[in-house]
Amino acid sequence: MQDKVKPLSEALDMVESGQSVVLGGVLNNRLPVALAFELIRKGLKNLDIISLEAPFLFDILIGAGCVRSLDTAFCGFASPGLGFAHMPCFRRAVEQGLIQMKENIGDCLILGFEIGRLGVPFLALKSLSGSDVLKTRPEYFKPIRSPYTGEDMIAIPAYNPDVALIHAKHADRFGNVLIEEAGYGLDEKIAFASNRVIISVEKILSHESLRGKINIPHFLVDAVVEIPWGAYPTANYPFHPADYDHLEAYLKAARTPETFQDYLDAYVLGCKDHNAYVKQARGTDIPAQGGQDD
Amino acid sequence: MTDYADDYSIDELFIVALAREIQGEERVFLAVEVPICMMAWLLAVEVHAPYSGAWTLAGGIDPRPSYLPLSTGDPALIEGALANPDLSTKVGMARRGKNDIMFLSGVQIDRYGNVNNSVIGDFERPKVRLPGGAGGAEMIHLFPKTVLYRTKHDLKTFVEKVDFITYPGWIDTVSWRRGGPEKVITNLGVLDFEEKSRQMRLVSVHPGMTVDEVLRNTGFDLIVPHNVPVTEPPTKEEVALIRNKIDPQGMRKSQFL
Repeated sequence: MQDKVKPLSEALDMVESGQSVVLGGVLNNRLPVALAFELIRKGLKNLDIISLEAPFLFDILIGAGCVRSLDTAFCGFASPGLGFAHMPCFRRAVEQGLIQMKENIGDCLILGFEIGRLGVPFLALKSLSGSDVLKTRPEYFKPIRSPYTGEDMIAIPAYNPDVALIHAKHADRFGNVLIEEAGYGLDEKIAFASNRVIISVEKILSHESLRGKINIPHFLVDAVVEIPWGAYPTANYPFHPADYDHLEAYLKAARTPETFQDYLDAYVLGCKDHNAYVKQARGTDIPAQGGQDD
Repeated sequence: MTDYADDYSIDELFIVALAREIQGEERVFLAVEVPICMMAWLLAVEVHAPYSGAWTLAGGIDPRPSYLPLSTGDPALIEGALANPDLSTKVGMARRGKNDIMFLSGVQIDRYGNVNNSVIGDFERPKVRLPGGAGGAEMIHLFPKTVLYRTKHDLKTFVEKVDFITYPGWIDTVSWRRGGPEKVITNLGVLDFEEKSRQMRLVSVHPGMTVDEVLRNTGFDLIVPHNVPVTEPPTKEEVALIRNKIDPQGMRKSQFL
């Protein structure tokens, strides 16, 4: 096993403009925020972003000019202070025709990674008729007939993207990763389906303490970066909850291109690393971390 | 005699109306970002359906969260769960028919229960780009019963023709489905779909609302029976549970601004 631990900037050197990048996590839960911010600092362009539902990162990556197309099932935000809100940069970019929106159906995205990791090229469902979403992507949703029953079905392809960015709980220095014990479960499949895998973790632990608890084995992983609170301001259970106050502050800033640029300058480009970002957003340092070598 | 509440607001009536759609041991999918539907399920479990189960995107099967998270994407919904299969397996259970009810909302709804949550205007260059349909476009085929809900019943929502069909209602381009939209709950009343024509029909108006008010705020011809009863109001117990136990911070109010 090789040592895969890298500093943030070096870990992201393997990503190039024009590649397809899948983001792990869902909604306000464990998005790979620190890794994605580094894509912005590196000035990458024309990325084809794929993710089930990662509204905060979609919006900021689009606003920063990194995105060529977005393949997702949902980009919105619900909060106690703002009710149901649209994501401002996403809306502006799609309405002005600046990015290509590849609207997907969540179930199909999930299955695309499910079969992508199995090495199966496509599968078919009989439960996808009637939605106009199918008409917007004729190259993706293909009508076929079941060779077994003759039923009308829709075929969908596997995903095998260039790069996966995932924020996880723990890893050892060889890139054996424990994403989470229970719950979401899609990020493991994303890692197995992707050609390159870049992981940030709350804490790097010893190989011995993680053996037997691994979700992603080292030979699938290209780089590991230790970034406590790397999903902030989204949640990483049980380390920290989502910071809805900061997410709302972001949404307000993103309402105009000018105030969005102010946010980007102050919080992303103006912060040398994720720790500086968290401190800027919360006003205090990240509390001491749990997760001991045992 | 049922002890009905004298003092309640529309958000409380709305949650109670959603909760009453859940009966017995029915299994519920709580879709993306809908705290009021989560509240409705928690209320149903407390009041009349203690063995009803639910699951979410990032949570487990039948969670017992110690606090109410703001989002159904919140991993707090792993807490106290019966089991924790991964997301793909949970969706697979719906595909295999192991679920009963789902709640869905959208920005435009037509008389057949077609729902738009994608774009206003043209898809490629929309006037308004909406968030998108999450998994609803397949899910609406898989559940025996989908309850549509909308906290603002107005002419912008209830339209003659939706700009884009994100979730298909009762239209004949659907080649297979286990069920579809059965009820529509709004801030004005409860509606369903007439058995033969599968067109939207008024079932009841909420206390203080009128049939005329519903008609004036609906952009297509509703089927209106001769007698339209008043929606059963919440009980004192239901209102107390919502206010004191399920949502003491009043998060539900933000959805009725």
